[in-house]
Amino acid sequence: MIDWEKTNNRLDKIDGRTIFFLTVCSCFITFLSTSMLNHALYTIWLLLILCFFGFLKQSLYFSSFYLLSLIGLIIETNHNISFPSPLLLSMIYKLILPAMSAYLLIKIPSGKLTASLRKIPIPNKFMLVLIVMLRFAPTIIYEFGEVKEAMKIRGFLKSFTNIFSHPLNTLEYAIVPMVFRSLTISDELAASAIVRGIESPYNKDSYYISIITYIDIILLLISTLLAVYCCFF
Amino acid sequence: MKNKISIHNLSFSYNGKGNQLKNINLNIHSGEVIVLTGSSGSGKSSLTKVINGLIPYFFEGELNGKIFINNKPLNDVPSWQRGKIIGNVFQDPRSQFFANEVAGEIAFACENYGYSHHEICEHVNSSAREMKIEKLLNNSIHSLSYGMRQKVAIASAKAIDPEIYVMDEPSANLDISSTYILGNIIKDLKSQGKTIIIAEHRLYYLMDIADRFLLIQNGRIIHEFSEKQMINLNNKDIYSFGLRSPDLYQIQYKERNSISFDNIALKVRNLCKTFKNMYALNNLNFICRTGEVIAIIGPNGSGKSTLGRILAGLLKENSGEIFLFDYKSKRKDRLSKVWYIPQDLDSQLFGENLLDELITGSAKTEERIKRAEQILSELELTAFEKQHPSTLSGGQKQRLALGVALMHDAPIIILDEPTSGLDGKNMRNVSNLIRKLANIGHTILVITHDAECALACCERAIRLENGNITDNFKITSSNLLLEKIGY
Amino acid sequence: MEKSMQNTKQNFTIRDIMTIAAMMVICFIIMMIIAAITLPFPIIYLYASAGIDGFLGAIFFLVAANRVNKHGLLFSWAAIYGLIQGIMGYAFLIPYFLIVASISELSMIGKNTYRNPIRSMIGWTLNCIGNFVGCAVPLWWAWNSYKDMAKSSGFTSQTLNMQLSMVTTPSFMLAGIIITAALTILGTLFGQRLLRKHFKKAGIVR
Repeated sequence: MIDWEKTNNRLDKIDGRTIFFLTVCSCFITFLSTSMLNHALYTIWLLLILCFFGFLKQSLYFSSFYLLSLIGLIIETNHNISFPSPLLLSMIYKLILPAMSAYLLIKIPSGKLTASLRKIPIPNKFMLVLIVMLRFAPTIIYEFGEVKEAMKIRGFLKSFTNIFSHPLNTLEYAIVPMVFRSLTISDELAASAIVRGIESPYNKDSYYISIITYIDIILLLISTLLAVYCCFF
Repeated sequence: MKNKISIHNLSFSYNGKGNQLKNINLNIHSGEVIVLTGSSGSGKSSLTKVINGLIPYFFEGELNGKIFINNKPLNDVPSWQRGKIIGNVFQDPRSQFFANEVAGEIAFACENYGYSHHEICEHVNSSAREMKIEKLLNNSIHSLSYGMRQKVAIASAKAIDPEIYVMDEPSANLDISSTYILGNIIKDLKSQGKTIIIAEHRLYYLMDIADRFLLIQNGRIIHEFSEKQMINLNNKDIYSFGLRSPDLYQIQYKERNSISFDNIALKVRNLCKTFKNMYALNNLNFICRTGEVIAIIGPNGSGKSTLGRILAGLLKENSGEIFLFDYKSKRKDRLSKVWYIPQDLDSQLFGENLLDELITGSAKTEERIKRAEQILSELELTAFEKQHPSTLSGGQKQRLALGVALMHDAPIIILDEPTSGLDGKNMRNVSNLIRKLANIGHTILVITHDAECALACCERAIRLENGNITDNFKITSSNLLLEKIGY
Repeated sequence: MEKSMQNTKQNFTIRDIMTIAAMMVICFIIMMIIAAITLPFPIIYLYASAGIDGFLGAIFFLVAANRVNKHGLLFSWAAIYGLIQGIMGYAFLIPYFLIVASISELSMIGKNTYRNPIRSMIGWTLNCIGNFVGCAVPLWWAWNSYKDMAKSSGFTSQTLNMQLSMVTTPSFMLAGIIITAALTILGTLFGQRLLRKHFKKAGIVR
């Protein structure tokens, strides 16, 4: 049973909207900040947040990737090297920041995320598609694996020449079972959702808490201030 | 006892596809457990869908007749409200879940029906406690076994505390112990006075639970049996109705010692496979002779499918050796020689019709087309030759999948749960076909927890548990196999 | 009963939503794979990735379009695409994607257009061209930060200019649009073939 008062997992206590806002902030920083220093500053802030939520190993990965691509970029620009493309490196280091907040977003239970998303003013139908897409992603990845295995058995993936001499056939073999499977699943899922009242007109509350607590407020405040600073100064 | 559900003169047809249900009259009393059985496509699923309102709201078609629940016409209840009176459990433990986590899934209906956060938590926690899954609330559903997922599905239905439960083949993907657990859960629900309607092929686990068994054929209720009448049905009746045996001990086992081939097709020596430092397979040793049909049994998660995938070259072993016809084989060599047919066949079908399914992927020579046509006629699929493979029934798909293996001349075939979700008749058809292939020299491994199928086609069984072979025995009687399989 | 069914026909049902979501997820997973493969080659990434997305996405879009056949589908598809792009980093592009979505949806005005091969081809192609132009924006942006870095460390201006021309010359952009449109149209043709060969035959789309 989840006892909300005693849970040690800090992520369980946080409001989904806070993480969502954090994601938006880091996106803005990564696109609007012109100074590398400011970008690095916000990245450090997010690393701290990751550590706060107990993702020590992950924050280590993220920071080493960040440093590697940054160092690579500096070396390349200083020595006139153009492979791997410096444009790519500059893209990677910039995208690590939103990737970190997106990682937090994924780690929130999808039910909780749904509850938080419901409180953001987006039309209901769009919201539902987004929620269902979240639900579908793991299933579809699993099905991709199944289809790949089936293609292997049939020998469709035996060799490169096999794949590339008939690229359209290979594509057809991959896509057709995928579509069949996902349409079956989506129909069954729709049926199971309908008999459990998804179309009911009530206002929907959630099993998961979405209340802004003092931790949320502190996080929101620092993130906003830091974001403003990093963008404009 | 008062009537909980009453159905008068009900008929239903999908738009222009003939009648699915014809003139159904049925009264179900409060607190009864009703089992709807009959061959695939008989209309038993359609009847459950009429009761839970998916017909005609979701599956559109022409519905005539009247349905009353608690003496109130069902038509007066808006479709979204029916979920408050009727809880549903479906067949496929992969596609009926809306959330990614257990707690969110159990809470789903409560959330939809406008409960407050506090009420939702109470309902979820008490439902999870009753189903003994309170420790799993934070887990991802995708990490659970099928048996556990079915428990989550029932907990989710239970959270709303409906008076009626409708279950559509809830045991189709479960192993024996999970099936019995499911039986006990249904018994508990019954003791709480719930009305339960189950459409099901497997009957044995419901024998001391159900009040009535309704046999449905071609959209009509043609027989009604009490538990006693059901158990007394002889094998001839069971076969002619296309049912599975209500009492597995009554299945007769014909001993097969006709191994006409005695060279070794497959030899496994010291096979090990680890996932994340855990042994999935631990030092397996066994041999299969040409023409043998061997059942691989054991509880879910014991490593059966992993073994099948390794033998077929889809996964790489960590250590150990695999010999095919006395030659040590690498993973890639096994790919075309050991043919693996997984449980879910939808991801296996690539062709635009049955003939194309067999020949697609290589040249369309005169010779191959002839061979494909011959295989289709051997499998009794010629009549459907022009159809798209995905329109076939479960049993037909299974036969087609075997046909593809034949087309590729695979000497060794591994089938993973070929008969889950099949009715008695199709199960026997597939079993007979497996026998037939063995007699012409194919070596076949059948991964299964379906004792009826194993008894109908296998002569030896290997039992796996936690990645170890615990038994490797010749099937001499049905009692022996049933005991090992865990009835 | 009959009447209420008629009315709801215009709105998306739960089944429609599930269909759209399923097809979009496949699309997105494929797009991410393509982005990961093409990202190391800026020229391909810039000129062809939107086209490849359009080629493959066409199949899934056509399945959804033929199955759902209701107005608003292309708008929702494109808007959600934009929204997700927004969440994944291009937040300031959301209004742009909403405009693309509206234009594409406007091109679908009429009865049963979603089941009309030519009309759905036009709609989808417009949407993909919109995505192509949208996708070029991040490259301009990556360019700026790269340029600052390059300048400060003495990169030869010649190389710089060559790379800059790739992203800023109108004729190159036009070439990109043509490539995207061509690939997308080929995709819809391939998609129509699969529809006839498999999905309509099996009866899962009409």
